[in-house]
Amino acid sequence: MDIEALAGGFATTLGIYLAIGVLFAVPFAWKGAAAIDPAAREGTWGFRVLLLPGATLLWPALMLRWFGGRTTPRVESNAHRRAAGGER
Amino acid sequence: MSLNYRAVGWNRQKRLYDTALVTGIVLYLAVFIAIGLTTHPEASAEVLMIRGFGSGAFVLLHVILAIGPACRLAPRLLPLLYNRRHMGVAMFSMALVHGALSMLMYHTQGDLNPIVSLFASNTHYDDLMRFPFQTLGFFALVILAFMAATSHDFWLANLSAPTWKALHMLVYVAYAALVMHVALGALQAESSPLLSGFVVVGFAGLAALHLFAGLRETGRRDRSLAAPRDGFVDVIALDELPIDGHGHVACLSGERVAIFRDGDEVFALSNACQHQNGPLGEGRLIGDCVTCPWHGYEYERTTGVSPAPFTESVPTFAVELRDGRVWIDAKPRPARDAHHGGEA
Ligand code: HEM
Ligand code: FES
Repeated sequence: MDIEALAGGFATTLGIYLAIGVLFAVPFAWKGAAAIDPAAREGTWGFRVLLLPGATLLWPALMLRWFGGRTTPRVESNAHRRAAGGER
Repeated sequence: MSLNYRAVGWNRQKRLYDTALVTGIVLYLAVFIAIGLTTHPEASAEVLMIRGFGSGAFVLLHVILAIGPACRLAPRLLPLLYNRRHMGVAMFSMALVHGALSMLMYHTQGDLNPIVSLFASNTHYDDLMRFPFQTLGFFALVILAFMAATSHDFWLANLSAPTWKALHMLVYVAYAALVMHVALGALQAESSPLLSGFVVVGFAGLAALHLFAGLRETGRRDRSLAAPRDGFVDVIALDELPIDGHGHVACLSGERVAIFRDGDEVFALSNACQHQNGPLGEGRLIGDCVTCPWHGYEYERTTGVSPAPFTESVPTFAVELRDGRVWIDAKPRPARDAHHGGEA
């Protein structure tokens, strides 16, 4: 197998993925984070800057969350919550 | 309840830990480079930096991986656990400097794309002795990048805890790749035997620590509570519960339960705080509410509901006192409609 061609394809894919990520990260830190988590609405500037790397790497998942319309993080389920039932 | 996100939730203790961490790293690099300059006067500054940052990150990774099991063996070390994410980010930063300098030194000279050069300049993928060990470092660095980038609480809440935990468990994959990166690199670059020694001792030490903590944990879990009688389980003697507002933690129905005593009344709540799974049992009963030790969310002691206007809640358990012992209903009550409280 031609390793150089394979590595070239990987490098290009990586580059495109990260480029989209950077383009996505800025509006996400500015507006998107608050749209999916109310605790981010008044997040500080430092917090928003810290979101950039994560948003760059995870943009596909965040895009689904943001455009999916859910405005709060999910409450984590655990054995007690499941056993109790009646959770909303 | 809601808290706005900040960049770093610093308090006095965390500042102290971070200062110690940064001082330790700077000292390590200074000593490493000073020794390198005297013992290898022919080595270039770049190579010394590459080795200093790489080995520093690798050592710090061992510390980070040791903290989990060490805390299970010696709870006194718990403050280290709460500071572990900062250590992780510091470790990633050092690894990033090491990786970036290596890429600059070894993969930007020709006209190949540096990533292509990394994967294709040495193609002995079928030969262990000549294996392109730098690619292993690259994959580890990618994993560490995802972890460092998602270390803020925002990601824990929004990726959901199980996803976040799974992502952060990949640290063991990164560690395995790095052991091979360092071992094969050391083989190929006839570097100091100290390094190979550290890889072996470090790996054996971490494996032993994890195994030991795991065995202790299994031993403890076997000492489980007695079988329930009419649905209730005998958990502890009333006299053994603290009366100063501190809690007691027991394991019931597959999770921990936080148990608090106020005079002759006893209250039991599911231990995991809705905010970020903070351990309510390590918090305090103050007035009518149990307060989480991590960020101060409050839960009414009988209903498990946060006082208005907040809407968080945790499941609670019915409690009965029988002959001076505390019996707890094995079936948790849904948080929101538990309005008849711990009739003790
Ligand atoms: C893109 C990623 C990486 C590249 C290109 C890379 C490259 C290299 C190279 C060329 C060496 C040999 C240096 C020498 O002997 O002069 C090396 C050694 C080493 N690397 Fe990496 N590395 C990467 C990632 C990492 C990561 C993520 C870690 C650890 C956290 C790490 C830890 C080490 C260690 C401990 C050594 C041995 C240092 C010594 O010889 O004293 N590397 N790496
Ligand atoms: S208040 Fe944040 S975890 Fe409990």
